[in-house]
Amino acid sequence: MELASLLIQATLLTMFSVFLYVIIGMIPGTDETATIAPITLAFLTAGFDPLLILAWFMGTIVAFKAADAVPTALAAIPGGVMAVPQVPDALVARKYGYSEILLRKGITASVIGTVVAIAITLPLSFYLAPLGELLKNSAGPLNWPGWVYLIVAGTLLLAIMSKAKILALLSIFPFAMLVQGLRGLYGHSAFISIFLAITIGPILYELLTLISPNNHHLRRSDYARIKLVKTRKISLNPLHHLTKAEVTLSSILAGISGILATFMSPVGLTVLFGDLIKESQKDELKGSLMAYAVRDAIKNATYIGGTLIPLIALGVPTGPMSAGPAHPFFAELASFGGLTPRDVLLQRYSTSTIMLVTIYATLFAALLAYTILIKYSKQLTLFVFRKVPAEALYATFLAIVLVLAYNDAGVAGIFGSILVGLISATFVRNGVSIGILFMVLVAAPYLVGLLF
Amino acid sequence: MEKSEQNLYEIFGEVIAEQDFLKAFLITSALAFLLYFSAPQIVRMMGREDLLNALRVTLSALGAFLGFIVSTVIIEPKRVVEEE
Repeated sequence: MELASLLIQATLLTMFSVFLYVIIGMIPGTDETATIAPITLAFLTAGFDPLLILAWFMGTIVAFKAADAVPTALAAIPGGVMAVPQVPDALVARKYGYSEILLRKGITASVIGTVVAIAITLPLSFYLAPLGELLKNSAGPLNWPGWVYLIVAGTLLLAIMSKAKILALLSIFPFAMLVQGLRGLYGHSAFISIFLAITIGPILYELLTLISPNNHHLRRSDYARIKLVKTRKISLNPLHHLTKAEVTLSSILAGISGILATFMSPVGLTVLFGDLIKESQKDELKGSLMAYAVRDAIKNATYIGGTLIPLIALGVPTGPMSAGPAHPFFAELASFGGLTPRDVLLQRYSTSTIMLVTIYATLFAALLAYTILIKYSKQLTLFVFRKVPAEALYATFLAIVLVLAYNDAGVAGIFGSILVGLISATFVRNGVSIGILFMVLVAAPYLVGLLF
Repeated sequence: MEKSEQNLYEIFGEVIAEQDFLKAFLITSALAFLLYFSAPQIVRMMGREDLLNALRVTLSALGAFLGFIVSTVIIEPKRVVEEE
């Protein structure tokens, strides 16, 4: 495919994904994996060009991560799971009447995080490519391929860092057995239905609770009340929105987090660095504004680095991002003759084409999302809160998951998904990071092999 | 504050209504599966039966998205927005 045609298609796809995901990002409670992975998977399973889908994916994560902090700043309601650590900062800003300033800082910092991450992690991933071959050969005491040691080490690290350490460690083998057990029943190495079941698990659990007679604690008598702060016309110049210290810290920490996200959890890094910044400041307001901006930069950077380094350099999903939202690129799909979209991407295109299209799509998405959010954040938030019902969004993702589960393993795939979803949700609701479950899914055959 | 005839529940910080969710779920799933199962006829009409697997998934995602638009139009969001 000619470069010009690729760039035109990437432009259209990026525009579509930015508009769509700015809106989805603003809807409270939208989980990143549940809203991005099923659609990425649907596109790839349908055999669309992997480079174009990568461009679409980059546009999506840039817009989604920038947008999910908007309701956080304007209404102290997190747009998504990654924005939850920003709520306390938003409340401090609101107390001092700084909500609008906070909004601009967050959107600008997310653009900085995007630019820094793409500039550092994309060239680095090509530079690290020789490591990929090393990771694929079997070696070591357990005769596992190198990447399996990495993913198991990452799982253990994530488990030790999570809120429920013991439960997280305890979840590893039973969950691996569940996955392998279902694969045995299906008669083939099903992946998609189990993967989607983990992503949709928490939503599925809550929805099934509604059918239970014990649902009274979820009952409400009134509609949700949302208070939006006043905003004025906002300057488009990004230099007006951040202090020098905020720009420096956002850039440095975005660069470091983008690389660390190869193995580490994006939410974990957002919490860790944001809290360190906040605690280093004596002034409550200054600390919160800084932490909010830095967290926004880290969010975008971890999503970009956590996708690109494993995708291009390693070829195997080594961290929570690549084993989660970006996993469809690593799945062996019938539409690519049993190859993974990642392999097809690297075989079909030269390094320079991949770099050019990816950088173009990411920066174009950042510019578009920045302009839309800075100019129309208030109107968009009002539109989303007034017009888009949560019922429609939850139902849509559930329908996509059901149909893909059916496509993967028939009616048994649907029941299997309910089973995996409920068990995953039970672990996640009790403090186990969802990233652990994704990584266990990827390493399941090797982990279960240890038991027999 | 608005009241509803339906049973309201809070999920992920959002208030949803039982019947409205059921309605949205039935609309999106029905459209997704309808397009999934009509994919063989559609590829036959197009004379591109090699594309069956690809179109099956794309069409069902399209069906779910159409369902999202239909449910967004017919269902009222359960939020009261106040500007300071």
